[in-house]
Parts: sequence; C-alpha cells; structure tokens
Amino acid sequence: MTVQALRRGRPEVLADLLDRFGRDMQAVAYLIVRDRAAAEDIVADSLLAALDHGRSLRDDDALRPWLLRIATNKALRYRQRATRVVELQVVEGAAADPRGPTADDSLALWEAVRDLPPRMRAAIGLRYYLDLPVETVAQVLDVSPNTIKTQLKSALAHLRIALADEPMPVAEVRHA
Amino acid sequence: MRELDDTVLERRLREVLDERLGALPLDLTVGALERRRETRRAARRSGRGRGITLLAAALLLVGGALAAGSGLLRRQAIVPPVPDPSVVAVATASPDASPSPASDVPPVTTDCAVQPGDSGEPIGPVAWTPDSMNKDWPAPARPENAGARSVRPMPVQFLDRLGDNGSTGFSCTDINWVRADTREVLLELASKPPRAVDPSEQWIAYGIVIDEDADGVPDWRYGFDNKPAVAGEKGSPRRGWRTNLHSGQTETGPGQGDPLFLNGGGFQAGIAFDDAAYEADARFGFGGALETTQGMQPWGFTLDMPFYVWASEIVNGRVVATDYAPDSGWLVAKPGVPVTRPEFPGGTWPIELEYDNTNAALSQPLALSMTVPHNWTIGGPWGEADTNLGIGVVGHAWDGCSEEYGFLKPSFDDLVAYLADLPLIDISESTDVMIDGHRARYLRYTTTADRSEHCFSGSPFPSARDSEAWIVDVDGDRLVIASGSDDPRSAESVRSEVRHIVESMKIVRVPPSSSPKASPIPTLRPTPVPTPLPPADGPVPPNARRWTVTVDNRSSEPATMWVTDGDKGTLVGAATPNVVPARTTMKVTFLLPADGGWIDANLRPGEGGGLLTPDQVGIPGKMVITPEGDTTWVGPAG
Repeated sequence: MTVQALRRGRPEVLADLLDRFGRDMQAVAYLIVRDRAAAEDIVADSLLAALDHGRSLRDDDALRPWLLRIATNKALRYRQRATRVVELQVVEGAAADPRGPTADDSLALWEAVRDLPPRMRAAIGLRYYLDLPVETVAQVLDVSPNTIKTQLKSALAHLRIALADEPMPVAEVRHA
Repeated sequence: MRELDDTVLERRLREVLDERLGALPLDLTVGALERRRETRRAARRSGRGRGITLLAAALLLVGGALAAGSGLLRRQAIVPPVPDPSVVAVATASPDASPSPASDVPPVTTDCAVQPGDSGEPIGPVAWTPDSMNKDWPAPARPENAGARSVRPMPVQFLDRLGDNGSTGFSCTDINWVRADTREVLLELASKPPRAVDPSEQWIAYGIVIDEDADGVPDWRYGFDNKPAVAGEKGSPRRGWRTNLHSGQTETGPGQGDPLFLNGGGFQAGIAFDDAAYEADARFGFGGALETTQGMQPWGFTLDMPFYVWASEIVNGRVVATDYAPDSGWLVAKPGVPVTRPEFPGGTWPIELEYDNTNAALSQPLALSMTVPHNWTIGGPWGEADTNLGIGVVGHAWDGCSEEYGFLKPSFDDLVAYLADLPLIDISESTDVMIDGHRARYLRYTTTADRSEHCFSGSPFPSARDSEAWIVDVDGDRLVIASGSDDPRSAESVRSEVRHIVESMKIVRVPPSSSPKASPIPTLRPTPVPTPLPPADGPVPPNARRWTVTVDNRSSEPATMWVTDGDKGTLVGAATPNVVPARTTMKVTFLLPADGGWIDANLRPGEGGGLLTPDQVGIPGKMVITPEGDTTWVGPAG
C-alpha cells in the first residue's frame, strides 16, 4: 500500500514513511553528520525526495534500503560540504571526570565511533544499530559486501585500540 | 580469544548505539514535512550542490527554524554598534574557583524556576530595562588575576564542576560541560532554562568571552539572553549581542524564529529546550557558509584564540548566580583556517525550474535569471525570514481549493479568475503587467482565513499575512512569482527590492535533455571481490610527518603501500617504496599530512578506513602481510 501510494506521488504517504522509517533514517544520518538538527533535516529532505522519485521504485521489498540509501547519500554529501576546519583533538592529561569512571567506557566507545570516517560510521550504524545484513548494508552504501566486511573489521579494530587502557596497540590488528 | 573479543566488542557497540541513537527524539512532524514540501514546490530550483535547507540546518541547533524561509531571502542588516559604554559595575556572585572535593551528585534536573519572592523587597541595581536591549550583560566579565593566566588545549569535553555558580537554586546557569572546536562551542547545563520568561522576573544569559590577542586580557564578550515577549512573535524571545570589552560598544542582532535561534554581532546561538537527549543545551556558532550570487561564501571567524564560557542570572535586579568554564584560565581550540565575514554583494542569480515529472506541471523546463540587490541570500543563518520570494509553476497538480471552491482550470486566465473569486484571500490590487515580454497579472492580497494555509498547500502561493504574486503566461505555462511576509514591519523598501528582482527576470526555455534526471532504481548488483589497486605515487604533503616502518610481506603477491584519507581511499600522502615484493621484508617510509593520513596496504577501490589511524603513527611494531594477503600490525606483544 505504501509503495503504491509512493509510486503515485501521493503526499499522504509521508506520514507512514515518517512513522515507519523516520527514526532509522535519522539514526544513520546522525551517525554520519553528528548533528541532530542536520540529521532531522536530512530525514525530511530524504522523505520528500522519495516522494518525488517514488515512481522509480520497482521492488516493494527494497523500500527500506532505498530510503536508507537516500538518507545516507544525503548525509554523506552534507558531511562533505560541512566538514569542519578541524576536529577536536584528544589531549593527554585532559580534565578527568570528577564524577568517577562510571560512564567512561561507554563514552569512550561512543567517541571512538564518532571519530571513525563517515562511511565507516554509516556501515557501523546500519550493521550494528539497525541490524541489517552485510549484503543490505552494501546495497545501501553502494559498495560490495566484501568492502563492508573490510570496513567493519577495520572499524572494530580501531574501536578496540581506542578502548585499550594502554596506548600500546593490541598485538594484532587485522585488515582483510 | 580474538573471537570472544569481537563478540564482546560488538555487544558493547550495540549497547552504546542503542543508548545514543535510540534516545534521539525525532521532532519531525508530518505538518513540518508538508510545509517543507510546500516551500520546495514554491521555489523549485536546480543545482544539486546547493542544498538550501541543508545549508540552513548545518548551522541550526534545532531544526525547522527556517521552515518558512526557502527561496530567496533578504538578509536583515545587523544593528550597527551602539556607541554607548554599557558595562555597569555591579556586585556579582563570586564563584569559588578553588578546587573542591569531587561530587558524585547527578546533574540537577529542576526547571530552574524562581519561587515567588517578597513583593516588598527592593529591586537591585541591575534590573532589566528596555535600554538593556542594546547593552552588554550588566555584570562585569570574569576577573583575571594578573600573571596567573593559563591556556590549555581544549579537551574532547571540558567538565565543569557542578554547584559552582554561587547558588544552589539556579541550576540552569550551572555549566556541566563544554565542547568546542574552532567553529562552534556547545555547553550543557545542570538544567535547561525556562522556555519563556520575562527578564523582569528572571534574566538569564549565556556566552563566551574571547581573548583575541591571547594576552590574558578579555577582548570580546558574546552572549544571548531572554527578552520580553512581543505580540505576534513566536517562540522564546531572546537577544544576541557582543561587546567590545575595551570600548564598551555593543552590537545586537535580530532574533529568529521558533525554536529559538538567533544571530547577534556575527555569531549564532541557540538553546535546545525540549530535547533531553540532545547533547548540548546551548550552542554558539562562529562560522559557516552561505549561498550568495558569488557562490558559497564563508562567514564568521575561526575560534582559535583563548576563550571561556559563562552563564549568569539576575533576579530582582541582583546577580544571583554566575558560572564560568573554566573557572580560571582559558581554553583554546586547535587553530584552523581563518574565515572571513560573508558578503552578499548582489548580482545575477540563475534559477532553473525543474521539470516536474510527477505532476507534469511544465511542458519544458524554464531557466530564470534575475538581478538581486545587496543582502539577499538563499536561506541560511543570516536570512531573516520575514520576507521571501518564491517561484513556482501552477499546473494541474495544484487542485486549488477544490473541496470547497471547485477545480482550477488550465489556462492563465482561469487561474487569474480563480484567485479573484477565491473567498479565502482579499485582493487589494490586481494589475496587468509585462515580465520579460510575457503577459502577467500582478496581485497583492492578504489571507483571510486559516483555511488558506491548507488551500495553498502545494502551490507557489504563500499563505502569508501580506502577499504579492505575479502570474506570468509563459507560452501556456503559468509561472508564479510570489513574495509573502507575516511580519507587518516588512518595509516598503524591501517590497521595492522584490519588485526590482521581478522586473529584472529573464525567462528562457531549457532543452529537456538538461533537466535533472530521476534517481536510478536501486538494484542489487553482483558483488565481485575487488582487486587491489595498482601501486600509485601519492602526494607529498606540506610539513609531512615521516615514519619508517618495517613491512614483512609473507604473501605470494607484491603488497602495495598507501596513505589515504581513511574515508574514500583518496591518497593524501606517499610511501617509499610503494610496493613490497612478495616474500620480502623491507623498510617503507611513509610521508603523512601533519594532522591526518591513514596507513594501509593493498588498498581496494572505494575502500575506507585503513590499518593505522593518524593517531597511531609511531607505535611500536611492524606491518605484516599474511600468506593469505591480510594486512596485520604486529606489536611487541606479538
């Protein structure tokens, strides 16, 4: 029903798309652009773009990856345009959290995810947040599954290093 | 062991993503989507790289503030400096800058409301008055101890002690943490400020103080505070300003929209009121880019000088709480590329109306060009969205207000007659004019019912309080150029500029072949394993970092060496040699950019990431290419 309405360009379908896919699109967009307002804007633009081009959608089952792909591409383009002059740097001996280490690990992991390259962040979000199969992640990002596997493996390796207590890397960092 | 590590890491990753992404509220509503759709249709443009709404969003703290501001916008001029020494010496709460025992008390979550006080209590010396609108915050900047200045690099997150604002009852001026880079500063507070409160009851300000020449003496104070509500003004009224702390001169800027987002003296600031999961409660932006007739132009400056963040509150004319982060000394973000203030020089602006394949509104695309005066832009943070100019085409897609007033017929005269009979608008002027050789009808009208917003949805006609429209007959296509404003203060001079823009328009048909194409159908593709790229010489970056590494290639194939951006596999550095023969161990010297560069081997097309991040340059160990061709780093533990 949704896909039929989308193909016909019926604006009523926006409510259904927003309800069913809005949060997924927002999550991936946010991971890429790291800005909630921008991510929300990207969701809006993506849904409107989907409405404009809905007639090109042939496969009903492809709706979710198609929408995620639109949102991902828009987020990556946004990211390219809005790249900041510099990123924050980690400073040795920076102020420690006086409230204890309770949330440190999770914060460190989150920060490490945010420090990954944008496409790798997208792959991480699609795979580990939305639980998409590698093949679907590849479809969304328009690369081969092997590239996705490589990116995920590399991302995990870097996250592990970022989480290590010691600055020394782990003995093995594999990169297929 | 490694498998277990991966499993644990993946589980933790899922938990963190669930925690961070799952808590993101999606404020987007169907109504907002429909409004955005309407404005897009009213201002159809080509130029994929321009991203009108995205540009605006790039610099907004909370989305949607410019929902009505698509199309060309006139940038409101910044109020010129007020030559009035405005810093008033008053007593302030004295924050305790001395260390205190670490607190394990969770952040306060009260709403920061003020309890009713004794009405007989005398008002203190720094109560808000109308004159305050043009003045600096009436409490002096943080006192600096001579000889005690210190500057520290900005950490990922600077944590400020809670409960150090001199009061236990005003938690919305208690800074929790600060994040910053050279273009923006974010801060989180112990509790969010009240959404709308009159400054006579509670006067609250947030800001940044900058030491422009890094001499330990503060030079500029940036801030925003609450101001009294104005009838008809939406949201939470705020004011943004900056003050030269040497001359006392203050510049103020216009507010903008709801949710709060405002401009003041060359910066932006905003508060996220309702968004508990958003990472910051307030944001200051000091740079970005805007679209002008000369292309994308940067604005603002690079925050590469020492700064600190401040928050302060005045009740009953007395400063009741003040917090600084840090309490003493300065933070400095990593230096970046200087950014200049944007110019909106005016000039020729081309617009192409897309061929609308959904609604077949145009028989053939139209290209327009127009001359815009100084200070016009397309959205963006400096666009005060009180007057805009939308352009679109009325075709069969807009069914008029068919439910109540019948269907719109296809000709130019039909449209003119339809609007003339439409009871939802009150036309005060209707004149035949010519635009670029085409007959046209000029209308000036006001909307007379709420129903008009629904009725005009999907059309180029604004449903603004005060609107003008030019309906142009372009060989049977009904081109509509419309300008609307809800702001009764919109000056006649701005209307004059709109008319000049319209009069300057040139209308040209575009061959169909140049119209934008629909996105290709997504299809599953065969996914062959990509072969590694052939060796290539990367660029030698200026001020390159040099690192020589032992590479042990145990595979039966030569291994290629790379320095990439870690994203798309773009080469940003060089390796010498860039090939290690099969079953050979040799030294490879990598030349990396001073602040980046990922090291990789056997790079494949489109591959992101890499073996080592820029931060890992210099770690002990060696690179090993396994017999299977996998790239591995073996450290001392291995």
